[in-house]
Amino acid sequence: MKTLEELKAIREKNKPQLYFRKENHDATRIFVYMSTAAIDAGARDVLMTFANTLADKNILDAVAIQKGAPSEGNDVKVDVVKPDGETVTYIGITPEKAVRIVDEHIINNNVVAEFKA
Amino acid sequence: MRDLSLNVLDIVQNSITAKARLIEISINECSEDKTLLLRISDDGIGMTPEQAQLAAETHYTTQNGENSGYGLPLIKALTEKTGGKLEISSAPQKGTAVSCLFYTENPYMIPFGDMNATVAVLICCNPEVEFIYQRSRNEKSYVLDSRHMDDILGGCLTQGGVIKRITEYLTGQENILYGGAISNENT
Repeated sequence: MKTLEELKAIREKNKPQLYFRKENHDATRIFVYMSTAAIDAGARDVLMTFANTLADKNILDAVAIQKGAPSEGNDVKVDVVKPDGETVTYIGITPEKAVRIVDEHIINNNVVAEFKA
Repeated sequence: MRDLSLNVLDIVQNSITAKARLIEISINECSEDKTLLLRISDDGIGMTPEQAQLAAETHYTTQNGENSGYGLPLIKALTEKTGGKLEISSAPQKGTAVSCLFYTENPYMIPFGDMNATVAVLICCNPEVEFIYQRSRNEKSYVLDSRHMDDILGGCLTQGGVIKRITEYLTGQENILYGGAISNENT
């Protein structure tokens, strides 16, 4: 016979773990800045493209996050932060460029030099 | 012209910057009055009444030196062009609520845009924030609460997969909202 606490623990364990719903520092985090100007420049679609591309390519150790701070300038700005804290900033990002960042930087660990800020 | 869904993203971004942990978005349409009322409220750091009043004026920002803050004046102008208005109520440590009234039959009414994409991205790409999204049209309504999504997600785990599930769910609800209303008018 299991105690109530044990049953509770089992239920918690079997619950879908939406790990990306809690900020996870063991994952590579892709921050998309969301200012008024960045929204006009297509930041929502860039953010969605990152999330969809990570899912399509079955990458579970990276997550796309909306940056809760305004950016300077009028372009879509993106920070890629590795678990060790290493950060690369990209500027002028479009959905097409987002796919390349996933392919080259996230999967193959090669910074896309031409998009760097 | 910038659509309503991008304006919602812009106002919500202010709430996120204000360290909100729970953000409520409601959109209520009334065919009889020909109105759309958008309300976004948060539990963020809030503003003094003076700051709140200034927030809807051109280029005001509470973040020194950064170019946020022209979202609200823009949306205010868009509401007023349709004959509507924007109202802000706020108190320090209590949060902020922004209400936007649009007259939907006015030729200056902005397009609705992809609201479901905005809501899905907000829920899935803000790990520390919970959202309640409520929509109504005449007597029909639905709610999505990010704290209670297990039924919708059905065990789906990836971020992109969850965005897709949420978008599909919201599209289905939206169809009921509009579809049923049209058949009522026909009878």
